[in-house]
Amino acid sequence: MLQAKNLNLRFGRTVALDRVDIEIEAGEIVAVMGPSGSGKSTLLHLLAGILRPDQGEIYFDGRQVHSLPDATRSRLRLTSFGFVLQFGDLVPELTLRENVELPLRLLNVRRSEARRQAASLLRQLDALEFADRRPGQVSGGQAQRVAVARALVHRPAVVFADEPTGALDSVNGELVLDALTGLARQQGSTVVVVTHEARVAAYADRTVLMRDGRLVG
Amino acid sequence: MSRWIRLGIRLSLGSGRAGALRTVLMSSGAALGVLIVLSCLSAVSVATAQQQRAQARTPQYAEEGVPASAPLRIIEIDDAIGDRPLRRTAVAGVVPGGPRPPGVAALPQPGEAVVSPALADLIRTDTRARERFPQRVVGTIGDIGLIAPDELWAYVGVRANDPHLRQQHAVLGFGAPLRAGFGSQLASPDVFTPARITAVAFALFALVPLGVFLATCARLSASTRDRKIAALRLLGVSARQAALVNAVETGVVAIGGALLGVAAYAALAPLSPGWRIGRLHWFAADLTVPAAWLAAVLLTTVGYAVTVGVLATRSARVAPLAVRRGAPARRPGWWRTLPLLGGLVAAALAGIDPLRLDTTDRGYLLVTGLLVSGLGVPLALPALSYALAGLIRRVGRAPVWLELAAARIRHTPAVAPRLVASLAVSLYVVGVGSVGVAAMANDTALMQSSGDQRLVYQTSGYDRGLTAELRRVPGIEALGVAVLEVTIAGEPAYALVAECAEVNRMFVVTPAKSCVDGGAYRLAHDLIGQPNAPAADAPAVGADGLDVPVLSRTLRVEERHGAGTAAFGSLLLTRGSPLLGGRNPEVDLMTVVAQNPVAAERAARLVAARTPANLLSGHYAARQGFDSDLLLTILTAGLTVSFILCVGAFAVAAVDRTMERRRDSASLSVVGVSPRLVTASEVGFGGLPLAIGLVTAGLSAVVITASLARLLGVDAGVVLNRFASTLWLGAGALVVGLALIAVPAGVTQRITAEQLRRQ
Repeated sequence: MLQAKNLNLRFGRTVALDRVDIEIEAGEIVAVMGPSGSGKSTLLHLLAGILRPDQGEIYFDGRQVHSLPDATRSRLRLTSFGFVLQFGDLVPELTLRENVELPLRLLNVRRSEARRQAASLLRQLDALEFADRRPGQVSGGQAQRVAVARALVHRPAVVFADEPTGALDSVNGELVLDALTGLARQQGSTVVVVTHEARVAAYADRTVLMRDGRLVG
Repeated sequence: MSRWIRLGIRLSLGSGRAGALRTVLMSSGAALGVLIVLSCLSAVSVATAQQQRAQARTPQYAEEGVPASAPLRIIEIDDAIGDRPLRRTAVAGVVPGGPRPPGVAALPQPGEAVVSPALADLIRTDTRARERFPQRVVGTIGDIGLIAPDELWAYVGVRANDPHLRQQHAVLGFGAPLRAGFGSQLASPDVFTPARITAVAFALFALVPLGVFLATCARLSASTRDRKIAALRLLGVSARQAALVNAVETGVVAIGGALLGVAAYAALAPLSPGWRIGRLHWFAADLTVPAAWLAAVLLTTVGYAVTVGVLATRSARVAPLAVRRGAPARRPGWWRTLPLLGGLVAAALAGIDPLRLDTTDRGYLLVTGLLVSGLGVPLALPALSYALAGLIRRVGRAPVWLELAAARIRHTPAVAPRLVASLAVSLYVVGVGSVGVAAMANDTALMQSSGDQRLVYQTSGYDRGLTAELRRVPGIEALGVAVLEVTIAGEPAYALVAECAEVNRMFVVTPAKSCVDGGAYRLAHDLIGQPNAPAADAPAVGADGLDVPVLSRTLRVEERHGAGTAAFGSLLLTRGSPLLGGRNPEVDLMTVVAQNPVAAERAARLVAARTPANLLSGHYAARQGFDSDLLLTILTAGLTVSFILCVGAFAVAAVDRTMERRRDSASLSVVGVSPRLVTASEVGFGGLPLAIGLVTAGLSAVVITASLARLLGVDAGVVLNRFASTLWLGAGALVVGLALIAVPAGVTQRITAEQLRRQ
């Protein structure tokens, strides 16, 4: 499903990734762990096609990702990937419901259908009652649950989660992880989750470790 | 308190690259603002001084005739050398101890001239000037008698019996009020004095755009600053302390910029007397800005910037948590539209005048309306944009980019209007100002080409020698006709006296060759747009026993070169006609036809040299009067200043906006929103308020100009016809504005590792 070969990336003189090889199967939940600055978020950004490697190859479903132009990679992210970031990163100007509808609207799903699907997912996540508020008007845990809904509403093949519980307490963190992994398994989506917390890695099928830009286990 | 001041200074001086950019932009804005304000204030003092000198040399005429005690007579002729206007004042009846204008030790006797220093230089170096003034130059005019150092001005002595001065009233002294012109019509000088107009132009063209520009600069990095202030509040800093920090942060930069502006003015002012703005030139002594004004400008600029900066971060001080979490801003109140409405109502009242106010009060009311409306346009924009965004969301069929744009406008209703306010104000200012410029330019219309590309002029009186000389100039035709006043059936009419050769040159005569010297004819003409002369179907009676019976032969004449009153004749008595009874009337009216501008210039030189009191009237490139030139220059310069300020403010705001939005745009791009859609939503975000702003500004300018036209008694239709160019300008502003938003937004879509790290 997702394969990276010999990935190298530098930021100036800093080596962010050094000869990284990784392969992720369809439906698998993989946790990428490591200390701060080990390169785990950078690996996620490369696998998701957000950044380009200086060297190396990335394949999604057998298709080259690393050589695609910006616009095509954007389209790939929209159609096939979902994202949950540390602070949710919902669009602050839209209501929570509109945030969840957004990927569907961008994929030209009819407004009424987008609204129905978004409401269904928000209901599953117990987020429907505050869905008409904006991100700035709800708690961090509530916003993060809505971010999970936004990441999964268009049934992506892969969900990338970067420290999804980093800003949450343990109760809210568990709620978010339950939602993310539960829905992903239900939909058959692959999940790549970057974390430095062992309790997050416990939700994964497999854990890989990174240190100083290299995979060490 | 000192620690908060220190913190403010620290924040203003060192906040990374974005902070440094903001510091540079804001201090540059303050410097430019102070420089422009000081320049405008000195323009007011220049205009006032020039107006006073112009009035001091304006002749005061006697009510009637020439009393024995006051034999001085004057006629003022507008001429030009190249594109430089020249005023030639012919004087007769100069007596010792008689009145004289300021700056002139003694008025010239016949054959003498007193000229301005600039004209004296030109006489020495330029043939065109030398040939115009063959008189002996006996003195120069002092600065006190001139408006500007480069003015071409001459007093030329002529004989007391000069026919051109015969009709002139006696001059009792100098120092009469000036009459000001608007378009081709005269306006009350109480309403339309140059000093007052300069002050209004200053306020309109400099203060309003400058206010917007400084406000834009003071609000740079708005969301970053809001977050910074909110962070301080969450740390435990009180609202007042946070306001103080913010005020110091803004004030330090504003003071630095303002002082830089004063230094720039102090450096430039001494150099400026050698400069000119259009036709406006000045003496160094006119260029004074009192110290109190200087202090007021500094205080006002810094105070304004600090006030805007502090008021703008109010939400961060009052609700810091909401700012940190990106909560939506409060809905803008409808009260924001009241100043605009109030200003327009005031302007409309000044134009329609249902209150029966006097002209001066109406003028003040209009100016108040104009300024309040100018300030009201940007103030009303958030409320109007918010309403439009709400409408788009309710419609429900809008594309995603437009929905995103509308959602952003409603989330932060003041941001986009702040971005586009400068362009909206620019359109308002240019809309009102360009109508003024157009009206002024109409007053000083230059060359008009006649149908056959010939240039037609007239001179009054006839000088046989002059006529002979003119006829020797290649490309010049000089045609003379005498005009006798007669009465036909009790109605006043004219009989033209000329040789048939002259008549055939002046008119197209039908039937051809039907005019025979010695004959007398009724004239029939069909001049488009002119009232026909009375038909000579009754005997004509003139002075000195002239008695012309009803004539049987009729000539139909069409205009060729014979312009003016000569064309109104009802009768033609050719030279040698027995009906003249031996009379040989002198030619009253000479028409000069030039084949090209060079020949016209040559004719002007000859006329000026031979008959200094004679006026070559017609299409000659002579601008009329002092006021319209000055006002035209001020209006044009003001429009330029305004344009620079407004476009500068917009460009600064657009760049700042792009920098501020990069983080949010990166968030959208991560989840796969295409760069095109992100750019489109940014364009929609700025474009909707921009369109509303331009429409509001355009409509406001229409109301103001229509009221101005009514106040000045000028046909509103004529004024509003000129507004078409402003509509094009508005469309252009929309396109340029959208491009200035789209291009930076488009080119900064690439996601960088730094943006991801910040997320």
